[in-house]
Amino acid sequence: MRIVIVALALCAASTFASDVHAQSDLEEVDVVDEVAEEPADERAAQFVGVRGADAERVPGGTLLLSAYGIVWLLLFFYLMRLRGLQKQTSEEVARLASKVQGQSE
Amino acid sequence: MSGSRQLGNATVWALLLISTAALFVATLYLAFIVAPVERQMGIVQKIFYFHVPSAYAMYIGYVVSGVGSAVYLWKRDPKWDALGVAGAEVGTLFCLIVLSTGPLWARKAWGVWWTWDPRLTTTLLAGMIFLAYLALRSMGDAGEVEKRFAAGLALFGLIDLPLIHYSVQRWRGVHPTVITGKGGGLESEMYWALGLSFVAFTGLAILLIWMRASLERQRESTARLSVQLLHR
Repeated sequence: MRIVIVALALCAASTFASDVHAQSDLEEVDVVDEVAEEPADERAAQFVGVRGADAERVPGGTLLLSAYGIVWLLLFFYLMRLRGLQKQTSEEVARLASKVQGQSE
Repeated sequence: MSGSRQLGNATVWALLLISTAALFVATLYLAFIVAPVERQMGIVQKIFYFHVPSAYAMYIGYVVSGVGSAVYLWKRDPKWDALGVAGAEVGTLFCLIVLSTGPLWARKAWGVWWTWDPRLTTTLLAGMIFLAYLALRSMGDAGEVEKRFAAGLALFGLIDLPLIHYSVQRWRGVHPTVITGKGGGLESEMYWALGLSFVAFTGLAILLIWMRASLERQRESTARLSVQLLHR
């Protein structure tokens, strides 16, 4: 019985100790956060001026034209690929036909 | 294939081609003439009328590839494998369109060309999976093992599609949600332009998948004939 009580007391003590340790860890994290909130040393050392009223505007028309151009270009290339495959197959059929003809003669 | 069936296919093909071309003309008219310029983004918002339907066409391609691959693994019929290849290729074409037009819009709307938004990242992932599929299939004449492995890869890529679709709702991100339930919606002219563009891109995706699948079947037949002749 005494052994059980001692074991329970030891367990309770270790649990309490781990809680205290976790608490102190949290406090350390808070301290780290406080340190991190301080302003960084690396700051912009130069400001460069932009000339003209439209300098900061993203050209929507160019982006739109590029997008539609890409769509038609990719479709065109794919049709060219299909045409290439078709040509390759036709050539292979012609080669086989001549081979069959050669074998039958 | 019988003569009447070939004629029927050619008629459907021609009708689909003409109607898709007409739909594209109408879409361009609605998008650029009828639909108003968006207040905050300006003219660059009009990328939306091709960007979003391209993403939808990408889904069509990849779903066709996944279904074709699954049926091929089950039945081992080359025509399903051809459908898998066609879907992967066309899906990747539209994925490239989405990933090229998106940054051009983002530059104006978000101020950056690219950001690791969940939808962007999952779309890039899908593109890379199906690019791996195409790379595997392009390594010389694909044998049975390569075809089966590629089919498995397509099924793996298929898992990513719901992630792309629901990523905006699930993980938030910065992607607009104007055409979902949570968004503020579009003006009626914008809806018409977008709706017509969806139909036009569906027609285009079907046409391209049809063309590519039929070409792949011809290539497969030619390769088989070549092997048969070699062993004769």
